[in-house]
Amino acid sequence: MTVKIIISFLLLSALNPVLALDNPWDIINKAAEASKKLSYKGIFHSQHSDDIKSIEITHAFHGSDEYGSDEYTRINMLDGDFGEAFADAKNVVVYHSNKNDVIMQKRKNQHLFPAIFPINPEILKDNYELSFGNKERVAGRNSQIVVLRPLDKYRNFYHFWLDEETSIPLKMIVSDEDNNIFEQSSFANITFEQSSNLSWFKPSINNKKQDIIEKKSDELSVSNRFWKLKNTLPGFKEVDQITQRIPGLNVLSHQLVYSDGLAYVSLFIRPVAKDKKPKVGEVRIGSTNISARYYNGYQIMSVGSVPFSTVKHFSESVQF
Amino acid sequence: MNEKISSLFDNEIQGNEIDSLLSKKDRGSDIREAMQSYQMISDAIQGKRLPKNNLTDKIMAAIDKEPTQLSGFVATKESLGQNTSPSEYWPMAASFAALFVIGLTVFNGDSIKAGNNLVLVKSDIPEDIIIAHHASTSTNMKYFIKTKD
Repeated sequence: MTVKIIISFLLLSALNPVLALDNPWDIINKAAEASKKLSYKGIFHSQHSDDIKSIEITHAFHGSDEYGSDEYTRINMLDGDFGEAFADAKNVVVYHSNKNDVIMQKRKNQHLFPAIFPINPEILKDNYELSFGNKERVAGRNSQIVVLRPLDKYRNFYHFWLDEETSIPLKMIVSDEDNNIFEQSSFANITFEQSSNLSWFKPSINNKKQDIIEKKSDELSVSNRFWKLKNTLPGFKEVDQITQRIPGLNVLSHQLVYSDGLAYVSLFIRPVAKDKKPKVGEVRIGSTNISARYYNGYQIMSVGSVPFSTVKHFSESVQF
Repeated sequence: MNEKISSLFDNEIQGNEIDSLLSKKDRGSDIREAMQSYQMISDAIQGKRLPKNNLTDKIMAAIDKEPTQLSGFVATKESLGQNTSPSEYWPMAASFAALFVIGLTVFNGDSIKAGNNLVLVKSDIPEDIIIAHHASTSTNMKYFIKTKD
């Protein structure tokens, strides 16, 4: 009997590499680390709903110490309107074209492919199940398919093609349980090169022809959080709060961002203007779901590329 | 000179003498200081004494930074300042009341009945909400969505 169990286990291990690893989640930890600690350059295609764009990414890692990581990323849109983003360990700046000028705007963070994993990937264990699939070639490199299957109805499926040599994600697909694809990103080519040269880390703007206009952040710091959420979904933590003044009025609009490490939901809390009627219900725009609720004079809206049940849960959780 | 300044604030000076005095006030710091002192004394006598530390201005500035919300006001001792006396709350209370009335005039409060809600359709979604969501959360090219000018 014991021999049969051992043979069965060995056969399963041979078929499914996940059983052959001490800790199968190590592959996710390696993928998260690779996207941050390798220096690479490549072009990937990014699809969201019906929209597909090509994006070039250059990433350099020059080490880390107790003060943080010496990491530089430049991301530029190759299709459509001009768009570039620059990120180092502390800052993210996005450049957009605006007629003949360029708008520069600081952002608080970026979670762009391939660095889509949370800082601590261990948090995914509680809400996703890991399974290994076939091996496939992506961008001329061998990769291992890994699937993160949600343990409840509040999340999507994440399919990753992880580079066999480095573990960096070469391809990612986000789908529902019926394999309807909401989002995918896939490298067409990628090269790895360690260099201390950072001459590429500057915006490709023609200073003689284009003026750079800085769009100042109108974000406010607010300590008076008059709301609270009852029954928050497992794994979702508040990762950001953005408060802005509604133009022309002495009233605030709050955006709370929640994440389980892969999925993001924005929860907006805004007072309803006298001449407006509040909205209730759910709609979908592309792969983004929106749930609206009216509560005590406020329009509550939650937005996210997550199932309807998730955005609905967030909008109904707000209390004050 | 001090006597004249005192008379000015007590409305005992008329015509040319006012012009003469006001033209002199810019010339010397002594005169300026004397005018400030008499202004305070005059206000105190007439019951118009300003709160400590120009509290009204500070509160108005704080209100401007901390805009009106229709619910959930939480006033703590710290947020009001520790050196304030009860009588000094009145300007602040009046300011909050005024802003609250404005808020109720412009915003619905909780007066809307459930039946008055409209069913959400795509065109109801404020564009800035979608933009704000993608600009702060997107893992794909939607991150480059243009924020409104």
